[in-house]
Amino acid sequence: MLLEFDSASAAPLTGLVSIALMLVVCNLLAPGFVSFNNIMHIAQLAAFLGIVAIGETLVVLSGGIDLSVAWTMTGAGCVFTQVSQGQSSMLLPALAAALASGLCAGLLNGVGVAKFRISPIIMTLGMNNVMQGATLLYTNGTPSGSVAEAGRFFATGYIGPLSVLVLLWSGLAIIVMGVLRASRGGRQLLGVGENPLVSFLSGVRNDRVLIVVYALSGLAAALAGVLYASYSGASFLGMGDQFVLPSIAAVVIGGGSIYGGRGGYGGAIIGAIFLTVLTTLLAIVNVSAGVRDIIYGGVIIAALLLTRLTQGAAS
Amino acid sequence: MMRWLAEARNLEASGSVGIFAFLFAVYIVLKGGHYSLFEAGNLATNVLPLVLVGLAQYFVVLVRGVDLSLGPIMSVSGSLAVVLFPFGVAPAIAAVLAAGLIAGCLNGLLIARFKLSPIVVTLATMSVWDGVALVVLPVPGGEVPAGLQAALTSGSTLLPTSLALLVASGLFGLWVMTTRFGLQLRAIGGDEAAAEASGIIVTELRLRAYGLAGLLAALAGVYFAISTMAGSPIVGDGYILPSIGAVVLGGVPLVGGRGSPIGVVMGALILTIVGSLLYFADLSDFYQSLIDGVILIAAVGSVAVRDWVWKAMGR
Amino acid sequence: MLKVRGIDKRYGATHAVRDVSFDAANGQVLGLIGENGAGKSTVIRMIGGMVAPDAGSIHLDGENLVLRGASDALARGVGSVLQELALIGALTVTENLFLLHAPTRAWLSIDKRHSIRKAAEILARHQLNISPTARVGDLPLGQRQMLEIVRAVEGDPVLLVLDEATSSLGQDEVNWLARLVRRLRAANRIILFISHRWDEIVTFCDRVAIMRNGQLVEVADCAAMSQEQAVALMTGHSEAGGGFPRKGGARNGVLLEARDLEGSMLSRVSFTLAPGEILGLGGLVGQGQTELLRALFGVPPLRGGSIALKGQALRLRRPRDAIAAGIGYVPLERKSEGLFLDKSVAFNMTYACLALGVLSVWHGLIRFGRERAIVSDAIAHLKIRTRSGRTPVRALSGGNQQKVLLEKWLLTGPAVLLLDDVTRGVDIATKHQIYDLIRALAQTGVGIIFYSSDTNELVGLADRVLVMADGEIRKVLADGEVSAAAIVGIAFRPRADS
Repeated sequence: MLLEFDSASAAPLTGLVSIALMLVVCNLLAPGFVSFNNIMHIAQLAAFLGIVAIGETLVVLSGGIDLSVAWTMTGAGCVFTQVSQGQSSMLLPALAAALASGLCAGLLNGVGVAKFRISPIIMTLGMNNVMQGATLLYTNGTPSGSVAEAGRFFATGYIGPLSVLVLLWSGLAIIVMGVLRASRGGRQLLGVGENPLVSFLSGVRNDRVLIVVYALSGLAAALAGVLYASYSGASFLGMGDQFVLPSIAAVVIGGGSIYGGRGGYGGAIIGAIFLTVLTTLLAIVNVSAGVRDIIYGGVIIAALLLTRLTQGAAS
Repeated sequence: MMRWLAEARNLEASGSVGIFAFLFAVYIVLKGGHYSLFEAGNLATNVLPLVLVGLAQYFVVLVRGVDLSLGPIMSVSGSLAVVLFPFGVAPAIAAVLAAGLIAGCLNGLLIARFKLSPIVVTLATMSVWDGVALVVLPVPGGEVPAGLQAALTSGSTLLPTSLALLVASGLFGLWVMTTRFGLQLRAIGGDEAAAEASGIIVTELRLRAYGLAGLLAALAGVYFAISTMAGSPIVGDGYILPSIGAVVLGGVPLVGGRGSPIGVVMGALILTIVGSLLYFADLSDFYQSLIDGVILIAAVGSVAVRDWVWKAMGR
Repeated sequence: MLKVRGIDKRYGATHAVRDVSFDAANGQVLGLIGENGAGKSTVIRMIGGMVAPDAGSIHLDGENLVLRGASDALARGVGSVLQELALIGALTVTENLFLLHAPTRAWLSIDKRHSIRKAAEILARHQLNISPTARVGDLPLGQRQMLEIVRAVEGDPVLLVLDEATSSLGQDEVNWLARLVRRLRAANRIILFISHRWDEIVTFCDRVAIMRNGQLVEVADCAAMSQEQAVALMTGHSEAGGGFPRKGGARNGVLLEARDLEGSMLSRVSFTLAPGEILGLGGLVGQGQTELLRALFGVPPLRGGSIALKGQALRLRRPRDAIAAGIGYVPLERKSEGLFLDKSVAFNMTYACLALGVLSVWHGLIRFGRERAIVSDAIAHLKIRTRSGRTPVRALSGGNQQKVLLEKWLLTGPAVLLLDDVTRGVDIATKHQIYDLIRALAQTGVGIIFYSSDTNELVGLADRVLVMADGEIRKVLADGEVSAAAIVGIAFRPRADS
């Protein structure tokens, strides 16, 4: 594999070290915290963020951003529970419907960005609102339904000591990393993100790459929504809001450039785990919601500064 | 004065004036054909926070930036104001405005000096300010001195105060753009490299733009709290997208360098009037966010459509 | 008095400026000449404060000049007019002239009427026929260049740096600049005048400093040096235009046929290209040569006319169509249009052929072993100086970057290769390697159409030359008719019907 060790690899290393440090602090505050079960649990929580971050990684690599993941995720979760209504026979149709809603949102984002040249911020921010309205209308303000046991297995079940959700995430991660590193599409994505003009003059269909990438992001957010609803047993309005900032932060903290063309999913995985451990630590420390938000935002800013300063030093 | 009005002779801004005039006419017709100064005052009260946040976003957009944290800054300022009012109105407002200025300068520091991406930074500071608002005022409430609300909304003179404040906001925006500061902001947005090479200290100006934005957002929050007689730690969340919407509808391009503050005022008015028209169409509240999103996307997308048409006509 | 001592600058593997020292006295115009890539622009940027030297010092009137940007430079009395113009196109002439210190009223508003009046005075004083309220972006390039020079002069600099300041000026405008420079000389200012044309240096300068490969090779009085001597010092060769590979090799038949092409800037362009032929596009800069090459690549799609390759009609709506048909295009600006600067040599080389299956892509997956082999072969074959295939292209010198770019297109196996000023900014040794490469490619039957701003190169390399003017083909110079005189003569001839 043509791996290139550069300043972008420094960030994930720092991330790993910080994760370890935070786990040490967790253990100090709540002795016995660091156990296999707890780590698996943290990995489960990180999986939702990690799956949303798949889409965000792809979109950011293309030079854009997806701010519509919040309500795409919520919407898909609501569709899933409402269509399946707790019956295992309806699980597959419900899954199909939920994923389709995410795919549609993503496709619209992609077409808007690629064909209509709408700035990704505007397009996805607007789509977020559209999905919000659509979800509110669909559920009439109150999400209904639940997830049958068979469905919940994928989010809460275990095969031996390993969580099914974590296995699922791992599988997806391997596929995504493989595609990015070793496929023609992955290379083209990196090219489009770094310099769309060069990519266009090299014969790549930029538009197609963009549309695919946004569609995948919508799909990933929808999948995360389905799994999250399965995990909780029901869907609730606004359940996706907590994933917007972290999914983007995970990509950037993991060493990806927000301007596109550089980075990979491996870094985003570390970023997702880092942020999940941070949330867990803050929960253990038992501060109020407001203080938690402040610290969370503050840590992300610190991480951004650190990434910037190490990049600056290396170049 | 005439010179200032001449500044407003900006083609896209004129378009937004036209659109607002049309929608306003429709609104009056639907209402039965009469419209009093009192009602105009009410409209002004409703729209003033959005006008101020829109102007805040405008100054940031002029230098090719975007600030998603303006909403939360609004929340913080409103919450802080109602908590501090018991200690005196003037000191409370002064403190709150100072806080907004500092918040804006923090964004500016991270973005201009440390060259971090505006989206990621303001997403992170969004979390910080949301947290601060929750800490300051965990639940909506607080006290607003009784006379204050009346004074700043309807007033006791012939002209409702809010209407006067609305006009003053527009004039303020125009005035800023006639100063050296405004000219240099346009220069940076127009061609940053050339501006730098011409001797403009881009970093400092950009920081000041974000600082001004924070100040205006704080002003918006204070006014909102006063006019609704209460503070709320989450009120700003609903202003983020509309602040960008007002800018875009006002004909200001997101790449910066161009656009008139009057356009932004019109954009805010258009968004607010559409909300009122929805009421007449008997559509539930659920449609509000959906419509906001569609308007935003359509407004920006229409530029692409217009360019296609021009290209097809051979321009 | 300007004293430059031992300034040095590296960009990655490129040693752009090596230990350069020279003096320039007040009331003197010092010329700086050298080929593209010789280091002139970097020296200027260091003096002007845009770039910090890695070593050495710069003293102006006894003071050590440590500048951190344009604003610093202006404050210290150093004014620069660089190739990338520092005017803001969206603003008016007046606004650009008074970006920093516009006259204001009591309440901080800019006094527009006063500004416009003052701007008009400045323009009149410098005999510039430009409206103060015109939008700078609407002005022709020549006027923009003059405006920027005026702005720099109005800043009353002690030292004025002019980098290729005549690049967009017509003869009258060049005379205007000469008068301006003479006035500045009389006012005891120091002027640094950069150019790559000897006749300009002689017109404007008292003394000249010659650079080659980042080093200062000679400083002398202009009067004491001849053009041949200067060119020899610039290129390091005793002969200016030698060393082209032998011509001939065009085969029979028609590889590419273009008929009545109409497009952006192009009208009624018709020509044929034989297999193995090297067809040159000549004429003054900006007469449609780049537009023609790009039109043959689908950028933007032609409005009218037809193109046939090997007898097959082509509809070229985008580069992808052209590449699929077997046409490759090496763009003008390699850094912004040709290469991904932060990606590796390997990534860049293989990017265009990803979709063609040339890289033995199996169901979309890349065969890394094959890629490694192809890339190392290319590096050896083209003698690309790089640490490995994984080095980011940004770290390579201009000539080596160009080789990477060429290989990228060679890998697509084109039938026709379009080259847009492919040796611009490339050092002499690499230029000759590229000439050999082009000739060798032609011998395999590939048809080549190339544009060069260097007439000698056209004459040396092309089998036939299409001389263009105003988007049309003025004349086709066949084998044997091709000479510098012929090309220049036709290019300057007025239109028959005007």
